[in-house]
Amino acid sequence: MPFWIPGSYMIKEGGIEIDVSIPSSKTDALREKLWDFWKGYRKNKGAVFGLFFLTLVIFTALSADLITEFDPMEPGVGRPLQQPGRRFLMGTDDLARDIFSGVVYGARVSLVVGFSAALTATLIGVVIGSVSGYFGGITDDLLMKFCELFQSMPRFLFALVIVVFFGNTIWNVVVVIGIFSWPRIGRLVRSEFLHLRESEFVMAARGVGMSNVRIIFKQILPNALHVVLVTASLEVGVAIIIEAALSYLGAGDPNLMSWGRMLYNAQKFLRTSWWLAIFPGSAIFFTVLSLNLIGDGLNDALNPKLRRIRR
Amino acid sequence: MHTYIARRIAEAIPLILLVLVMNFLLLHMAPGDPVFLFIEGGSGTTEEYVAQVRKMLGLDKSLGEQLLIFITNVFKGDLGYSHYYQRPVFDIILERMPITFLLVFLSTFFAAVIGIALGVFAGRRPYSLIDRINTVVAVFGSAIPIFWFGQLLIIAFSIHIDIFPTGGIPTRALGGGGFMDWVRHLVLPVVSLGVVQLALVARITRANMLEVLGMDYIMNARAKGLSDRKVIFKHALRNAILPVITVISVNFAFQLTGAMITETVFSWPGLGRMMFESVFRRDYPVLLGLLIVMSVGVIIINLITDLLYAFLDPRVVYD
Repeated sequence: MPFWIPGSYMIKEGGIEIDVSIPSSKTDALREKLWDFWKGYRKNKGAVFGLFFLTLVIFTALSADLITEFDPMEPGVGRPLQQPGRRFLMGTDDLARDIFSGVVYGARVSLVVGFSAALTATLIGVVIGSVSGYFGGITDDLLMKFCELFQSMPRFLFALVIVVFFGNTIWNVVVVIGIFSWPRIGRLVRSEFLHLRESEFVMAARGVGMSNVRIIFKQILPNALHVVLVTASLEVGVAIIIEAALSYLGAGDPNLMSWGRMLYNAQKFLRTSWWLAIFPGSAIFFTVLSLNLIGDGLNDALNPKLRRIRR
Repeated sequence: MHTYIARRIAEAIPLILLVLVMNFLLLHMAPGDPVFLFIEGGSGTTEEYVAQVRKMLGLDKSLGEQLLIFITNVFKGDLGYSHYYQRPVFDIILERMPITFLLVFLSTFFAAVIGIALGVFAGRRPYSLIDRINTVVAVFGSAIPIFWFGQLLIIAFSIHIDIFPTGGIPTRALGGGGFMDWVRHLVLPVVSLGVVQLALVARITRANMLEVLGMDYIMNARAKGLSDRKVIFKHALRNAILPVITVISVNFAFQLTGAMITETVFSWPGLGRMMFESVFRRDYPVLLGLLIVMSVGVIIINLITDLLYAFLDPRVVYD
C-alpha cells in the first residue's frame, strides 16, 4: 500500500521507530476508495491499455496545434497523394492536405462528439430510467412505451435525416446522437431502481420523510452509478462510430476535419493510395477499442459480483 | 396462443402510429417552407401561385388534418413523390429493397452460423485456442466501423490480391450474372457487414453455453452415457441458442442501417446507395420515405421474432 493511504505506519530511522501514521479524514476515505477502485481496475490489462491509449488521444486532441505544423484543411502543402514519408508522416491526400494533421485534429471532433453525445444520452437515460423504476405503475408503462418507440427507430437513419434537414453542424450531430442513444442506459437504470427501491435503506429514507427527488438522487442513484458509468463509456464509443459514419456519408460538419470525412475521401483512392484509409480508420478503431476496454475494466472494478458470474 | 399473437399485434399498431407521428413532426419542423420543395422560389414566382400550390398540396390545412392525411396516405402505400427520380417514392424503395435485403439476410446468416459455431466450441473448452480466437473476434468486432472494415477488405482482397471485385453487382451485358459471379460479388460486402453481428453472436453463445453446461440436466444427460456431441448439440445448444435469436432481432435495425453503409462502400445498388445519393441531392421525400419504411420494418421484424420465440420456447407464457 502506498504511503499516502491513511492508516498506521512505522518506519525505522537510525534504530529508532517513528510513528508516521496518517489520520483519516473524509478526503482520505475518498482516496482510499479510489485506490481500491484502481486495484480492481488494473487487474484487467486490456483496460489499462485502453486508459493509456485514450489518455494519449485526449492529449493529442488538446495539443493538436503544437503537434502538427500544417492546417488539416489547407490544400497544397506538398504534392498530392504523396506516400507516407519524413515530411508527411502519414502521406497527403488528393488535394495535398497533410493526413497526419487530419488524424490529429480529427481526434478533437471524435472526442467532443463522443463524450458530449454520451453525456446527453446519460442525462436523459438516468432521469427517465430512475423516474420509471422508482414510481412504477402507469408512469413506468408510459415511459417504457416511449423507450420502445425510440428503440424501434433506426438510430443512424434518423440521425442522418435530422442532420440533413436541420443542418450538419457538429452540435446538431451531438444532440441527435444523444437523443437517440438514451434507451439502453434508461432501461438499465430502471431495472436497478426497480430492485433498489424495495431495499431497507430506501424504506428508512422514506420513514424519516425524505422527498422522492432526494431519495432518487441522493439515496438510490449513487448505488446504481456503476451501471451508468459502464454503459456510458460504451456509448461514447458508439457515438464516435455514428459520427464517423455520418461524416463518411458526407453529412458531417463541413468546416471540420474528422476521421469519417477522411475515410469518405479515401474511398475514391483505395486502388492507388492505401494510406488515405489506413490511418484515420485505425484512429477510430483504437479509440473505440480503448473505450470498450475501459468499460470492461470499470465493470470489473465496480461490480465484482458480476465478474464472478461471467467467468 | 392465438390471444397472445393477437395481443402482440395489437401492441405493435400504436407503436407504428407513433413512429408515423414522429416522422410527420420531423418533416413539419424542418426549416424552410415545404412549398418551395415543389416550386423554384425565383423572382418570377407570384404570391398567388405559391398560395395555389400550397392549396393543391394541402399545406393550407390544419396540422391535425395534415397528419391524418399523411397517415392515411402511408397506409395506402403513398410515401410521396421524388422529383429527381420522377417516380413515387414507394415504387423506388420497393424496387431496390430485394437487393438490400439479400445483403442483410446473407450477412445475418453468415454471422449466425459462424458465430454460433465459434461460440459453441469456445464455450465447450474455455481458455482453449478457439476460445482465444473467439475473444479476439469479439474485441475486434465491437470496435471496428463497418465501412472501414469494408475498405480494408477491398484493399486486401480486390486490389492487393485480386480475387474479388471492388464492388457493384454482376452485369448481364458483360456476360456476368451466373451463380459464381454473384458469389464473388457478395463475399466482401457480406463479410464486412456480418463481422459486428458475428462478434456479438459468438460472445453471447459462448456465455450461454458456459451457463447451460453447468446445469443439472446436462449432468444427467452425461450420466446417461450420451456422447459428448449429443450432449452439446442436442441438449445444450437448444437452450443456449434462444437468446441468440433475440440478439439478432434486436440488432435488425442496426444490421439494416449497416447494410446501407456497406452498400456505399461497395457501390451496391440498393437502398443504401439511394440514401447516400439522396443526402447529396437533398431529396427529402426519398429520405423520409426510407425512414418510414425502415422504422415500420423494424417493428414488424421484432414482432415476428417475439412470436417465433414464443413458438420455440415452451416456457413463454402466452396470456
